[in-house]
Order: sequence, then structure tokens, then C-alpha cells
Amino acid sequence: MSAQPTVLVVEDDVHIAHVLTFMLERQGYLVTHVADGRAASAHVLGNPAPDLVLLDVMLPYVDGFEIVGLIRAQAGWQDTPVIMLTAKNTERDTVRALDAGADDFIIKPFQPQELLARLRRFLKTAA
Amino acid sequence: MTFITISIAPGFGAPSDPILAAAFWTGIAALLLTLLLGLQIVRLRISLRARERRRARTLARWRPLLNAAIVGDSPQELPRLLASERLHFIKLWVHLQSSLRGDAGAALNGIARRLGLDAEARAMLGRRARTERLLAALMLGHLGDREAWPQLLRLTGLDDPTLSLTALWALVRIDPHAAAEYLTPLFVEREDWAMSHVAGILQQAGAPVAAVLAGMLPRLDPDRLPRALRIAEALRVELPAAPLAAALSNDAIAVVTAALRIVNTPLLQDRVRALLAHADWQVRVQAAKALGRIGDRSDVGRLVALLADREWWVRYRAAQALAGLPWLKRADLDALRASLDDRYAADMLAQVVAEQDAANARHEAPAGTAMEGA
Repeated sequence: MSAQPTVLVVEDDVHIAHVLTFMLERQGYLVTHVADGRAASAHVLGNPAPDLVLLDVMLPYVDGFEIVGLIRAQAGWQDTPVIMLTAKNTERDTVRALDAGADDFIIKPFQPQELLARLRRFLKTAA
Repeated sequence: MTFITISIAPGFGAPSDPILAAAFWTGIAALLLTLLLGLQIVRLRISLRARERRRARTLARWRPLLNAAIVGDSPQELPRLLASERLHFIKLWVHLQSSLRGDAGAALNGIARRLGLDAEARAMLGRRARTERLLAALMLGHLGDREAWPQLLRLTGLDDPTLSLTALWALVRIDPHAAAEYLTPLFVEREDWAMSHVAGILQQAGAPVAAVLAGMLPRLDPDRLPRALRIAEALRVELPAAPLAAALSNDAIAVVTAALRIVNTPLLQDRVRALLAHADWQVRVQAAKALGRIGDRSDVGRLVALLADREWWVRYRAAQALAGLPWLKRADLDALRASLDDRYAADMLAQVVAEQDAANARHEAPAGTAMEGA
């Protein structure tokens, strides 16, 4: 892992993407943000793996389940921790996210401090 | 060949012939209207661009402050919120509130109160502009503003369903118990309100709504009972056995099936068992499903008997209920199927077991299999 941990944020909601980027950069992470499923797929296929992926389920063009499948199939990305952001009251989505290969999930609406704690757990493990 | 002579009245410019004059003036009117329309389009575009600029300025000024507050760094001093920024700020604030919870939500509330937006939102509720009223109701709901209760209550009576449902949502946010007392009878009455909206609004008040529903059920007439029971089902709240037992004994099929859908206690086993032989197949379908949830080992025989029902759906649900019983393992189901004399019953059980196997295989499939070759 590099000195500054890298996080790929895949989130189509521009306001939430700003909050996530602000929070993560403030913690010293280097954040790359992509705003839809197609851009996320292209990023996964054309770039080295980050230290962690924060992935929304509901995305335009390609949904989060497909992206996590792509991550698990892509050389160099298989062991990258993936945390998925799922909507409240969608237990089926949560199970599907874990089945698809996600390491953890955060339910929206989310608590920023809880999200950071989950992130730190994975990044410490990676270190 | 016909020649048309166009004569123009001297010193005026319009033709003297009445038909040509009408055409002339219609043309002039059309030209003027086109010009006016063009000007209006230009004005709207200028106005839209100005609004976009104001929005961008508002976001650039306030987003860093709100983000800092969200992560626990509320600024000591806040700049003044300009009148031109107010609606854009509230939209951003409401959006963030709906996406965050816990300390972040409390921090956003603190910022709004310091800016005096609680009083401002109450004032907005009384204005005519629909957008302002909607945003104000959302903001006051997130703020949990008790002072706004009477105003919000008045909004719930409006014909505008979006506005009235938003006001109802805000009331639930402010005081779930008080709101449940008022809203539950209203939601039972208003068949025109979609159940998904009702469930979304009452979600936070599940326990108080269950208490109100339990009290209401014995007094409700059969026309209203199915709706009340469907609300309990949508909220996944458990109703006491007594009112449910009464509903299961009701003559109306809609009431019995709605009650069967939410029965979740072994106390009602006997009543459910009695309904397995009901003349209406929809009741038998729901009874089979209910027995799958609350039945015991003695119910295996009853469900097996339903595998020979004349209705396909009853046989299918009975087979699903059997396959879902925790004490019947795969080998038990295979043995049961082999022991069946009725071909249709055996086929139905085989189909359900195959569906279960397929679902388990999907569940146990290694991650990423679906994307191989992608």
C-alpha cells in the first residue's frame, strides 16, 4: 500500500460524492471519484487497483452488483476490499451485494463516522 | 383566368377588401405573437442561467461549511444566508439530511437553527408557492420542529397529495406517537393513497401504529378491515392475536386473506388449520402459506393433503410451505414425494424442490462467476 491510501468512490449522487470525497480526503486518503457504472467499469478495466472501493448499488448504465463482479474477475483487483452503499429496507440488495463479492456494506442513510470506521478496518488489514 | 386586385387604403397600409384585410391583420398578429414568444424564450433562458449561477454560487459558499459540520467540525461563525441563496441552500440541506443520519443529521440541524431557518421554514409553510411549502415541510420534519405541528396538520387536509403526504411525513418525524394516533385512521380511510407511500411515511412509527391498529380493528367495518390489515403487513408490525382471530372468523374473503397474510403466532394455529378447507381457493392459498410460518410437525399431513387440491396455486403454496419447514430436510422431502400416490401432488413437490435447489445453487455460486468473460 502506498503512503497515502487510495480509495475509488463510485457514486452518482453529486452531493453525496462531495461529502464522501471531503470526508476521505480529510482523513488523508487519495480519492478518485467516478459518477456512473460505465465510467466505473472503464476505470476498473484500465487502472491499477486502489486500496479500497466504495461502491453505490444504484448506478446509471451498469449497477453496483455488476461492478463488484467485474472487480472480482479483474486481475490485480480480486483482493481489493469493496464496501457497498445500499438503500434502507432492501435486505435483498444487501445479501446480493455480499453474494456478488462485496466485503461489507453500509446502509443509506449512513453515519459518516461509522463509514470511516469500516473503511479504517479494511485499510488497516491491507496494511 | 381570374385576376385579383389588391387595393391598399391610401395613408393607412391595410387592404380595403375585407377578406384581404383579415388576412393582413392575422399575419401581423402572428408576427407579433412570434416575436413575443421569442422574447419570452430569451427571457426564460436568461432567468434559467441566472438561477444556475446563483445555485452554483450558493453551493460553492455553503457546501464546504455543511461538509465540515457533517464530519463534526461545525464552524464557530456562519456567514449570513442571503435571500437569493435560501431555496438553493434548503434543497442541498434537505438532500444531505435524507442521505445521512446520526450525528451528521444533528449537526445539519444545528446549522439550520443557527441560520434561523426553523422560523423561516414555518413562514414558508404559510406562503402560496408550492415548492417553498414542500421544502419547508421537509425541513421542519428533519428538524423535528414541534412549533410547526398545527401548520403541518392543516396542510394534511389539502387536495394536493404530494403536499399533504409530505406534511404527514413531517408529522411522523416530529412525534411518531402523536402522529400515529392521528394518521393511522386517516390512512385506513384514504384508499387513494398508495400503500407504498403510506408504508414509507409510517415506517418510523411502526410500534405506535401497531397499537392504534390493534385498538381500531374490532370497531372497523369489513370494508375498511383489509386496508388496515394491509398497512400492518406493509409495516411488518405484529398485531395481537385477539383482533387477528376475529378477522380470521370474518365472513368477507378479503378480510380473511388479509389477516392470513400477517398471522405470525402459533396461538392462531387452530384457526388457520380450519381455513385449509375453506370453499374459496384464495383463502386456502393464504392458509397454506400461514401454516408454513406457524405450523408444527403435526401440520405436515395437512399440507400434504393440500398437494392434491384442485387449484394449482393451492398445491404450489402447500408444496412451498412443506419445503420451507425447518425440520424437513431434503431427504425427508424426497421420501415424502416418493410416498405420494397422486401424480400431480408428486410433480408439484418435485418442482418446488427443484426451485429450492436452483435458488441454493445461485446463493452458493462463487463471487464473480456471473462476470466471467466480461
